[in-house]
Amino acid sequence: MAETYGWAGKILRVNLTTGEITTQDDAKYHKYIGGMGMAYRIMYEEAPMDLDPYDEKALVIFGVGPLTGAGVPCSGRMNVTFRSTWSKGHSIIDAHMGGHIGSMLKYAGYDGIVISGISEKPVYLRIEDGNVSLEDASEIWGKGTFAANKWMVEQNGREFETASIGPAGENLVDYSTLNTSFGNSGGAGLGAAMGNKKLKGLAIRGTGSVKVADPKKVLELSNYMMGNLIGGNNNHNVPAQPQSWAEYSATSGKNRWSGAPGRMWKKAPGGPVDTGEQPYNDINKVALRCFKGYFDFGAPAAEYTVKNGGCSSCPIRCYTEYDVDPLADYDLPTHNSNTCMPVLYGTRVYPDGVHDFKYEGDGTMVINLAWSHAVDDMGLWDNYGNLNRDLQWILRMPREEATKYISEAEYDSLPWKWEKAGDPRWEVELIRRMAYGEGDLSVIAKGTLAMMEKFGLPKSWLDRTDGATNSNLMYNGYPNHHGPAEAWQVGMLYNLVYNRDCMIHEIVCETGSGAPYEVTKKVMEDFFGEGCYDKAKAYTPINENKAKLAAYCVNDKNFHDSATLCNWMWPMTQSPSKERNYHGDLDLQADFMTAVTGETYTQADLQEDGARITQMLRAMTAISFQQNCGSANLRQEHDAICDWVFDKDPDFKAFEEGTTKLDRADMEKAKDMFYDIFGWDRTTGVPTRETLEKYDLADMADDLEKRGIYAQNTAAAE
Amino acid sequence: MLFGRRKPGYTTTVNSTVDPEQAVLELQKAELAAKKKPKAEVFDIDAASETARRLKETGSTFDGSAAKAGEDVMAVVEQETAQLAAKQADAAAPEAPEADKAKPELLDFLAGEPEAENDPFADQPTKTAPELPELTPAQELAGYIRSRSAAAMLTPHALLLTEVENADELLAQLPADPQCADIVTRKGAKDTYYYSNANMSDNYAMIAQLIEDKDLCVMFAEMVRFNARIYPSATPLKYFQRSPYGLSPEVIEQTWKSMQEKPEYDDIEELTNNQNERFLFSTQHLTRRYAKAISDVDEFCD
Repeated sequence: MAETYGWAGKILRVNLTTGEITTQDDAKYHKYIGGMGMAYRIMYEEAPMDLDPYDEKALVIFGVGPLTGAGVPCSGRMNVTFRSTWSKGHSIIDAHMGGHIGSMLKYAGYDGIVISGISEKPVYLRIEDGNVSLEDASEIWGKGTFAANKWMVEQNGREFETASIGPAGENLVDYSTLNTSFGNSGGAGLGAAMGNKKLKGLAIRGTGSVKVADPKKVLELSNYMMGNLIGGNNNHNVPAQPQSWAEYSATSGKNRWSGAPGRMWKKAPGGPVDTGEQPYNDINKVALRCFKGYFDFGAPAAEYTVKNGGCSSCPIRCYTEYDVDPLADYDLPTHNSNTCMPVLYGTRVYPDGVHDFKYEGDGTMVINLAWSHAVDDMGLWDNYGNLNRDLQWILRMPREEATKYISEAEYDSLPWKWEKAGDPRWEVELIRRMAYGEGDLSVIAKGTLAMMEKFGLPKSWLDRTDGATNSNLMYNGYPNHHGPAEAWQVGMLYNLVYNRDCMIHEIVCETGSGAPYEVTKKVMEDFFGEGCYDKAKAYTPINENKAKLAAYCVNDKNFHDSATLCNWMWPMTQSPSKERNYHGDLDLQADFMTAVTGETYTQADLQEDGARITQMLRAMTAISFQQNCGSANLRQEHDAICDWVFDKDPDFKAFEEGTTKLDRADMEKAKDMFYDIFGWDRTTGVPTRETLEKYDLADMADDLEKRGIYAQNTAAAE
Repeated sequence: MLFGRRKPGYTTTVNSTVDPEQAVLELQKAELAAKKKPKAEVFDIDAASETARRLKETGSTFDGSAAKAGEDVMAVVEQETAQLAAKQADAAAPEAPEADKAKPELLDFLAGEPEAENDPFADQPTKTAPELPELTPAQELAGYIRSRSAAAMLTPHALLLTEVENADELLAQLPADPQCADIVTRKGAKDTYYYSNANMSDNYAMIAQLIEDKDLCVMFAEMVRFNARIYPSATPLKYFQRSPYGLSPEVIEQTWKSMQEKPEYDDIEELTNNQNERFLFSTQHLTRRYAKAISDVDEFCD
């Protein structure tokens, strides 16, 4: 194996059918960076989209990249690639998780794990550097993730990082996750993909390190980033409330730089901690900036906060850790840590509302944290809120209407007295039923599309303008994620690309920061060209720079999930520094790549590498749509946009001040521009042969040709 | 190698044997030498921000609470500095208690190990502030203003007159002294306020001046107009509950009520968003329709 920096240099291959465990030199995948890119290439070569997602030959690929564990700030991420069972086309899909397990995999000496086959009995994968084995997991099969992770640590030692699926994954519930004990999770059905293979979890200990080509440079870049560029969570570059060193703050008082004078961690060991002021160049205060609990819940968060936790190599600490003692009254666990969707939508399953528990206004927080612990324990995913939205849709119906969809016996078996009392056990019971697939209602956890089919709902159900229960941008089964409401046509365009919600935060990091529009516009236009950045709810028609920005975001995100870097923080577009006129440094991630790997990277190189991954994704999506939907015309089948996106806010016209609604003709023009940038056929949205060859993907072009997908382009054009 | 950790004895803070008052003065001298906060240089003593850091390290919440409580800020700082020095002196006590001797001390062990050759992470020698010329009285006054700015406080002219015998004479010297170029003024309704724009932003000084002026109607109107013009944004009524305003809901209601009776605030209007939260906005800069739209909270996911 040649000497490499950044990359560990090998991947682990585990066949669960035969029990065979081998390693493979991974140099040939370095052009795909790692993580997502490497996994896409492996998936294409070894487990074509023709396979059923639960086929024995189907793969689950854990991937990290050259920056994971290399000391680069905000790099503690791991990507997991597998096949969707719940979104349209059953195509290639990713889960993304933080924590420490990705870095630990690198320290153990691996850039990835390729899991194939199906085990006869429940097992977990134990990795201790070069000693890799499949261990009996019968003891923990059927257990929640917290108990399973605890057991694996007890069996192997506290130095091991573990992650486990829960009952949802074991029961092949499509909305399922892989979880650590600190709320880090990979969703999108990863639990079921592993459950199908009888793989309960991972326990990893690595005692090695990541070889870095120029450690002094990495330190220098890190210091530069920490002292000049990094902001709060989502790299928000102004604090949520006025601080004496800062010219600006978020007028709403709500952004992800939430630490501020008087905002306390009241349950901190040793006494309350006031997060105080955090001057942007005081690197020792960076970890006090993101008081995510305060962002999520406001003042009540202070009453229950112990401290902020987070992932390896991350100074931001966006996982607020709580002790929610009122939950003890319901025999529910009080310790909780999460940062993402699980803490946001629990109250939606309480049509009669929630009440305060111990402090004024704490009802939402207590209910949401009970939800968070329960879904994490069951290993249940929420599809970025669709689980909650779809439950809300049916639970708020009168009995006579709801029983058109679920039986009267099932409706009456629900503990409605708990719902009416705002009792957290209500949501825990709903979650349990979902995770065990009990009753008709549990079809909701099989996916929005499966639910629509079972309940006989027409496609137009996704066109409704009821934002509380419908935020599906397309007809593919996944919701809006930082789409047009935050990023105008750019947000809509990048939501078109994936087979799940887009997980792209490049723009919401700017639009959500709370800095003055003109300040951010100057930054964005200096980087991405005139007219690329619209004012909140005052959109302008599509232009070339917006389309280019959308393409940049897609490629950049793909690079992040391959390198790996946290897309909630990277790239360093903005800065909190007035001296820099609030400009970040987009080149920094390329500079880190160069310093870590010893190979020269520029921002343009990273865009090209990201675009190669985009092209692989698009080609594989076309194949799976042809296979599972009967047509590979992605413009029609995959990229069709729901009516509500254009029809909401009836009192406003598109492009009028005050709305985020889009215009149909303008959006079709936007697609044309976007397809042109990526080299996709305008009629079908499929990468042309010329495009794929440009990215050294001629074999994929041959494949599309052979499958008749290019003939379809020609026919559609005629 | 002690990557990411400090060796025992490695310090960037003040020697505990030095008189605390003298220590603060030295830090102010260093700050003067640098004049303004330079770009952050990590692992380097940032002389310009050292005073601010010291204020915070002493446990100050850095929110001007001492001043708000009517305490003498410098006295508090000195007292806290002395406490810190005492704490450091305790920590540096040569003899550890018997019980601790038996404990394996990782840092002591590592400090006793030979340093790796060509270690790129080796701690750099502690840098000390450069020798500085004696400060002029005007420069000492500037240092005082800076230390208050670092603690989020303006310095009223009236305060200087009571604290410093020949204040006006010294203040008159500041504009001509290039080492005091960061000391600027802001004219309020009742006084002139001094601050260091190296340690306090101009917009925060505006807020602090409005707070010092104690005319709540003017403060509301100015900030509502500023937020509407600059961000643009409507201003939640709760905005004035937060730091640094810290007003009670009752005072906010009373202020808004009296504003509505005065014609000079005719451009300030109220709206309620889709979450039943109340906002003020200025029709000089925002239409009601747009102000409402940007105040409404949309579906959110993480």
